[in-house]
Amino acid sequence: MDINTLSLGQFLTFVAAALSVILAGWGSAKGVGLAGQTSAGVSTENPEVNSKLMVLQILPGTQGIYGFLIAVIILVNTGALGGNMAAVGVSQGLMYIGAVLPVALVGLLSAIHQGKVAAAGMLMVGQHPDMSGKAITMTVMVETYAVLALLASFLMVNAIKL
Amino acid sequence: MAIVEMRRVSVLLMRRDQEAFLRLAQRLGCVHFLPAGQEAGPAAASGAAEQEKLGRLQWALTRLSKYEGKKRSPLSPLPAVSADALDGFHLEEAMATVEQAERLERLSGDLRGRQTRLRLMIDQLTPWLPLDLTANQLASARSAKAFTGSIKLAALSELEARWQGRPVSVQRLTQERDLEYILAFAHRSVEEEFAADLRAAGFQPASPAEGEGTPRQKREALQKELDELADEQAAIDGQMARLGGELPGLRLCYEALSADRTRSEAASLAAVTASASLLEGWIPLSLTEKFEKRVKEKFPMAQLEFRAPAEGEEPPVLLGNKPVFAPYESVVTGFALPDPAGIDPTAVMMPFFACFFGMMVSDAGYGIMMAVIIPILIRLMQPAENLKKLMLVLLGGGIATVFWGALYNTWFGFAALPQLGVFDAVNNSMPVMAVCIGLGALHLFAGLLMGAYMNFRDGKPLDALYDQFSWMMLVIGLGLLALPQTAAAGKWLAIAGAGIILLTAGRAKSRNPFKRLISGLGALYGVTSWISDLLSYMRLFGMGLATGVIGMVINQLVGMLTGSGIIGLVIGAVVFVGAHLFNAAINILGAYVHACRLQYIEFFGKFYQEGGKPFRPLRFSPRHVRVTDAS
Repeated sequence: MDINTLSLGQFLTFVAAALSVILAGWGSAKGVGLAGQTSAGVSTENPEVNSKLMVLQILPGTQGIYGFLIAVIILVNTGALGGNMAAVGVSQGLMYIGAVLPVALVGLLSAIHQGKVAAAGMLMVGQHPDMSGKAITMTVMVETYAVLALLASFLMVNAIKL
Repeated sequence: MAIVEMRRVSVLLMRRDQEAFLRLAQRLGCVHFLPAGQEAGPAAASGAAEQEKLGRLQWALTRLSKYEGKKRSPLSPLPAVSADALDGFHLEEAMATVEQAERLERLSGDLRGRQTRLRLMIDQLTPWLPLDLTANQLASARSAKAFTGSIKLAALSELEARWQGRPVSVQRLTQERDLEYILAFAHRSVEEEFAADLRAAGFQPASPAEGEGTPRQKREALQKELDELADEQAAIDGQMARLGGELPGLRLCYEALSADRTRSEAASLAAVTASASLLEGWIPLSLTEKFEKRVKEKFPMAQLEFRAPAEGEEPPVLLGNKPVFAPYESVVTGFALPDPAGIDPTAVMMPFFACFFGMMVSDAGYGIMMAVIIPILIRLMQPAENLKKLMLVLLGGGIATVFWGALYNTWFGFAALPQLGVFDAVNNSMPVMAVCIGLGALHLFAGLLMGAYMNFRDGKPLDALYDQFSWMMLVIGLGLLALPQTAAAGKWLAIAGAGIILLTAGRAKSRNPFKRLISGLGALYGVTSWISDLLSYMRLFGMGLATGVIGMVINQLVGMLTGSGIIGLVIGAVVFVGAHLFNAAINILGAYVHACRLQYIEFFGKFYQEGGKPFRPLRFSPRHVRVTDAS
């Protein structure tokens, strides 16, 4: 890929891939961070539940993975990962940006909310260690929408014909 | 597939035999004791004292654990101990060891405090080291007054300039950031004036410690004291380390004491008279004979009585399944135990759980890895019951993963065996999504059938028609509408189903036909929840896609690395192993959690009645050892 021949369409494609990684990853970092702080607090009170809390802590991390996933599919579909990027028109580039919005925005917000639910679940597990199954279920409920957003983004990205 | 049938057992025996009987019951581990009679026996008065001892023992175990001679690898099994060995423990000896450890800890805390104080004093002396005079010598100067303290560098230069050529001498001792420690002498004639000027310049008076000795001599003395303390500390550490040898005994004692405590809790439930003791509890039906035989052998005088649960009595719930299904009980109990009058869904759930798990991990390479590693781990670790169940659940999921991975044609991220591949999630995703929704519908219908089965069992076949079959008609009918050939049949099936729901959903709420119709409409609105339930199975596709694509990216990265010579090859190999392990771990966790969720929310939502109390028999539940010959 020669930097001098990079077209605006190709640039927009990179913007789309970047948005997907940045926003979803941002949300996950926030969600996992939030849950991690609570995990540390609960573990000082009740060190025995620490391993149960670890599962809860990484649950908000999947949104970042979904964002990364969509970015990779965009790079694969446009051939950028192979080093021989296809010609992408401006309209196609804009379509890529539109296509990543679900996974990027829903990823950002759902990861933060999932982190909050995970943190609340940790407090519950700290008091009642046998309720960790319920805490995990509550946390995973939030993830449904991230999965749906991932699917929508995936279908849209795959629908863009070069 | 069943909730284990329970019998109420009551045991009447001599009071003096009670302790021995409870020891036997603890070894057999099959009786869940209940309060006998109306008034509970004397509360376990010794409970608090034992709890305190257990706490101290636990503290000692944690404190001494770093002195354990040979570290136990987390993969090797816990040390095995016989139940007899637990009976013959020496509490006094162990508590003496604990006391010694506590005394050493206090001493060492003392020492640390003194060391901190000494270090602080040394720190305070450091700026005065260049001073060769003792405090007494400074005070005894007759014609001049000595000032010691610290002052800002800038202020000091100005001060020196102002007093140039007057009977004052300023000696700079040590500089610390922008502060200078100084010793100044002023002739008695200008003493007052100089002191005022110093104050104005922001001089902070401070003095090296009082008494004999120059600061350097004093510091040496302090340092010597500190070294002595360090020696003392090392001696204490040595004694502590020697106590590490007592760890096995302490562990044994901890387990014995906690077994004692659970026993005395059971004893406090007994109804006692001066000479007799009555204990009541629940026991699984299949174990009653063995229990009776063992008790009669040891206590010929004891009276045992078994009876079925009476009306209104709620026996505790224990799930009993064939060995293939049994590990999945942990998935059910992770949600909530079924009501004693409900149903144990483990066996029906198991194939779905494994199938969904396999679809979400979806890399045959990871599946093979799990199927090989987990049995080895179980063999090596001899894990406790719960952990073993979890590992077996993952093993089943791993085997399903090999199946689905082959269908997806993903082997450690490579498309290695295209002849096995049926689905291509990235390029042709529609068939995969259809399979996901189809499996979801199957799962949900299985849930409805469970509900229907319960209605039939309870002698309410009409309820099964109203609540379960109506929905199946509606959903299948709507599904048939999609195909032109079956659309007509689908239409009538859906209308029939909807009609039944409309007319019967409100039957329990009111006799008023109008109100019933309103409730029926509300229930019919529940069709939206079916849509969201079915869509929820799309996660099977999404999670599977994530594993596959990330595996592919890993391989591409590794491909770039290995292109550049021998070093690249080595780094590439490390990245390949590490990244695939990471991907596998993240996805196995995700698949487990999401497979659970699909059971708890979508499947259980269709029929499950929770609310059973767990069966907690009196038994050994050791933390640091395995009790080998309990029964």
